[in-house]
Amino acid sequence: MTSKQRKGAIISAVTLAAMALGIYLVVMLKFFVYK
Amino acid sequence: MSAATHVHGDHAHDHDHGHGHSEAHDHHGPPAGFTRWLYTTNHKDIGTMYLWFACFMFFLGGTMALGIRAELFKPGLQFFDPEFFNSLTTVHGLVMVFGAIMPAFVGFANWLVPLHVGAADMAFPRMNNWSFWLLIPAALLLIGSFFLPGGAVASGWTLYPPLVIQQGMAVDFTILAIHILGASSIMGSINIITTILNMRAPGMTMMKMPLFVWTWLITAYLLIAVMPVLAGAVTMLLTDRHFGTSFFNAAGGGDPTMFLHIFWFFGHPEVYIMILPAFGIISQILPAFARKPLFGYASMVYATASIAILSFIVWGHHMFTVGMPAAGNLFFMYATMLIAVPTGVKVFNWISTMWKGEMTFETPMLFAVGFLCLFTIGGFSGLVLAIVPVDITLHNTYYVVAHFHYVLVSGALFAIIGGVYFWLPKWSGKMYNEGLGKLHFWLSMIGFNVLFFPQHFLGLAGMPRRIPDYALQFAEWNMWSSIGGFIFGFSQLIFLYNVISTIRSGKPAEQKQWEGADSLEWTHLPTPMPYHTFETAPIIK
Repeated sequence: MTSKQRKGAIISAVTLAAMALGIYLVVMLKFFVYK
Repeated sequence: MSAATHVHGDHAHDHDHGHGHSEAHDHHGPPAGFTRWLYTTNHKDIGTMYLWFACFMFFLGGTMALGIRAELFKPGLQFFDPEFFNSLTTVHGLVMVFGAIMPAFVGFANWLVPLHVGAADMAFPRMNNWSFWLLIPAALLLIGSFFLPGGAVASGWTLYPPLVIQQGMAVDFTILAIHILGASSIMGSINIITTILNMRAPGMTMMKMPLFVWTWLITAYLLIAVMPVLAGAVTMLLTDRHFGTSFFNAAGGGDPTMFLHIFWFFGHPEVYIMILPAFGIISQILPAFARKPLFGYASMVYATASIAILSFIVWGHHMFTVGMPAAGNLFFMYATMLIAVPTGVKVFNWISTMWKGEMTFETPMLFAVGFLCLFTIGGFSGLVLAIVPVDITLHNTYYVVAHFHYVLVSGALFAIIGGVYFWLPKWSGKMYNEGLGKLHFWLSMIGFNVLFFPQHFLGLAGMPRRIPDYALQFAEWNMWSSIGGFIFGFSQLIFLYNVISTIRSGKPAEQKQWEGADSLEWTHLPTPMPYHTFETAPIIK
């Protein structure tokens, strides 16, 4: 794995993990706040 | 140098194992013993573990299915009390969806994605190891719940409230298992996407990737988008059960229908999560045995993406009977029918790939053609169910059971089995017994159709699903369905025997076992493959 690949992989992974966590939080907060 | 190379001994080789080096030159092979599997960061080892895990769960879920078919062989209660029967149908569904089909495809992805894009390993090998080993506690929670007071969860795999809020501790075990499985799936998906986007060999542009890689890239995005939604839904179930909320409890001002909307927003893309990688496998097998390139490669990519996007706007077709406004029903009906367009593109392209090809029918091709014929039947019965007034009649009948088993067994499972026969010579370095493979196919084909085709008739006649007993007029087709079930179930033992005997004592396979196969593992790597491959990336022209 080159350093360029490593950097790209870390950026991709952090973005995707944030996306997953964000979706979970949106679902939870929407209903908890609504309630 | 890959992270896997670090783990296995800091031998910073520049050797290119992808260009004909024999295994004898591979100085850093696998460590011996159990720790090889516990600590492994090698994508091939992890892929193998995923596939064996899926195989175990497939036989476990299959045993439950045989229990269901034994109970339904004739009217009246035979073996089980109704509560246990409901647990069998529920856990059968959960085990097959989360324990068998999904892990099997992740196993294929682990084995094939790095090989197909010319990478040394997955982008995050240690996270890959963790993704797999999380499956074990999740499976133990799910299966172990049978031994809890009150038995395993019995609400159906969809976990609908209010029933699921009233059941025992097994529901909590199942909710925890789903959370763990979701975390595993999300980590696996992150790994697959980052590998595909960042670790392709020079010259391997996106539109040169094998279609299997494309289908998994899109599937991984689907997983990341919907697994958190399922996690949110089951978290709310948990708080309804134990922390005083009433999201889905009408007695506290909640709305059980809201769970259906959230669950199926996850659930319909989940269907495509279980079928898109199957499309990828079939798209590798058919051209290899037709000895022609895949017809309409670009349109296959766009069709796959279209199916994935449309999957987010069709969830309502699972709940036409809950009393949505007519406009809502119509929207979901037309949106569902729209999916037939990209799916039709795929079927057309697969048939066109075979058209005037120099075809031979070894076992993987038989399963691929079987997939094509039977999955299409499942697709058409899906269109029937998409019609609102028809669905209102057929909702929760055996017609629905027949439909989704044509999609998930003769669709997803046939592709998995065909894929195992296709790549087993490459993975193991040994060739399977072709005669046994063909016997397995024909028994599966006959058994499957005897098992599930009559269920269309049962559903049309009004037999509800998830019941241990039924009226006398359903007796004959249920008997045939059970006979088919036992033929199909026991014929899978031939598959198990064939795979194990191949690994233990099969004849050596050739580097390019299938004449028409053209992805990198066949063209660039020896058979058997060395433990580490593509440590120096191949140049793709």
